[in-house]
Amino acid sequence: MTQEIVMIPLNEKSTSEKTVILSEEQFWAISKIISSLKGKLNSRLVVFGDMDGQLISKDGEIPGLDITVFTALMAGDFSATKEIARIMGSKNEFKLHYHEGTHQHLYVAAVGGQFFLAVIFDPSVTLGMVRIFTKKTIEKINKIVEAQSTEEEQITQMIDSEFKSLVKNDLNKILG
Amino acid sequence: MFINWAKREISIKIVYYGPGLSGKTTNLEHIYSKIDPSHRGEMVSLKTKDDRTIFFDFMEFKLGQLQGKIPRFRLYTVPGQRFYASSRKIILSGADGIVFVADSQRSRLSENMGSLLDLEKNFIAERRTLADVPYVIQYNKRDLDQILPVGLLQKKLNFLNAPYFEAIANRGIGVADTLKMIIQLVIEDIERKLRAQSAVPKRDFK
Repeated sequence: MTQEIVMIPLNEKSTSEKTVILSEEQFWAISKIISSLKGKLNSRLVVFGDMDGQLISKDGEIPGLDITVFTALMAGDFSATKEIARIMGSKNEFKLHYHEGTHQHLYVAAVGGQFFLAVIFDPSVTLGMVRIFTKKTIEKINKIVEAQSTEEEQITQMIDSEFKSLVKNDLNKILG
Repeated sequence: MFINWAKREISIKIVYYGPGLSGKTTNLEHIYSKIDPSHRGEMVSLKTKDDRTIFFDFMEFKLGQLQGKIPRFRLYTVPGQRFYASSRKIILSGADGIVFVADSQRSRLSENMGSLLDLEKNFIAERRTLADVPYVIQYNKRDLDQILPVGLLQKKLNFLNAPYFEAIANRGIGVADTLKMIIQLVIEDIERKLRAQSAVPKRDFK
C-alpha cells in the first residue's frame, strides 16, 4: 500500500498514512491568531501542535520548559485519553483536557482530529474565559486553513540527491 | 512526516520498537549523550518506579541548515512489555521509520518474534504494513554469552530483508550506524512520496 500525501486543510482529519504540509501562509496566520489568544488571556504560553507530537507554533516561554518535549507529552496525553475513551465504550474522543495546578493551569483542546491547542494560564483568569476564547480561536484556525496552498510545487521538490548527501554528511559530523 | 514550509523545517518521526529490555532506551540514551546540546532538546523518559519504560522515551535533534532547510528528527521508544500494547499503538501512529531492536539472546527469540508480530498487527490496524515503511533491524547485546548467530536471527526475524546491524548499545557500538541508516531510508522514502505527489493532479479542497 502506498502512503498518501496531501496538502491538507488542517481541520481535515488526517491519519498516519498522510504527510502533513503546512504552507507559509497558513503558518503565519495561525501564529498571529495564537499570539492574539495569548494576549487576551494574559497567558504564559500557547502551543499549537499536532497529535503525533510535532510542535507547529507557539507564543510565550516558561523558564526551564522544553516546549518540544511539552508538545510530545501533550500529544501522548491526548492519545492516552483517546484509548481510555475507547475502552470506556465512548463513541467520541475527549475533546479537551484541563489540568488544574496551584500557580498555573493547563487547558488543552483538540483542533479537528489532527491538532491541538494548549494554553497555560494564571489562576486569576477564569476557566470560562479560557473556554470561550479558545473555542473562538479554534474556529478561526479552522477557517484559515481551508485555503489551499500555492507552494506545493516548491515543497515537492525539496529533497534532491544533494540534500540527501548533505544530511548524510551532517549526521556523520554530529554522531561521529 | 511534517513539513513546516514557513520555517523550511522537515520533521521526521522514528520509533524504536522491540521486546522489553532489548535496549531501545539504551539506544536513545547513547544518541542523546553523543549529540551536542545545541542540536538537541531534553530527553524525556516516562518510567515506572522499577525504571521500565511505561509510555515512551522521547528526544528530538536537528541538523544545521541544509540548502536552507532544517531536518528535525523525533525519536521515540515504545514500552516493550506485553501489557503496554495500547501505548505501543499510540506511539507508532505517524511513524516515518522503524528501528526494531532485537535481543540476540537465545532465550529471547520468541519475545523478539512476538514483538515483530505485534508491530505488524499495529500497522495493519492503521491500514499500513511494515513492508511499506522504512525499517532497520538491530541485533543488540552481541557481547553476551548465550546469543544466537546472526544468520539464524536473520532467518527468524528479517523476513523483509531489511538492513541490519549488530550492536552493543550500552557501549554505543552499532547505535549511530543504525540511526544513520534509518534516516537515510526515511529521507529516500519521503523523496519518492513527494515526487509522486508532484506528478498527480492537484486536489481541490473548496
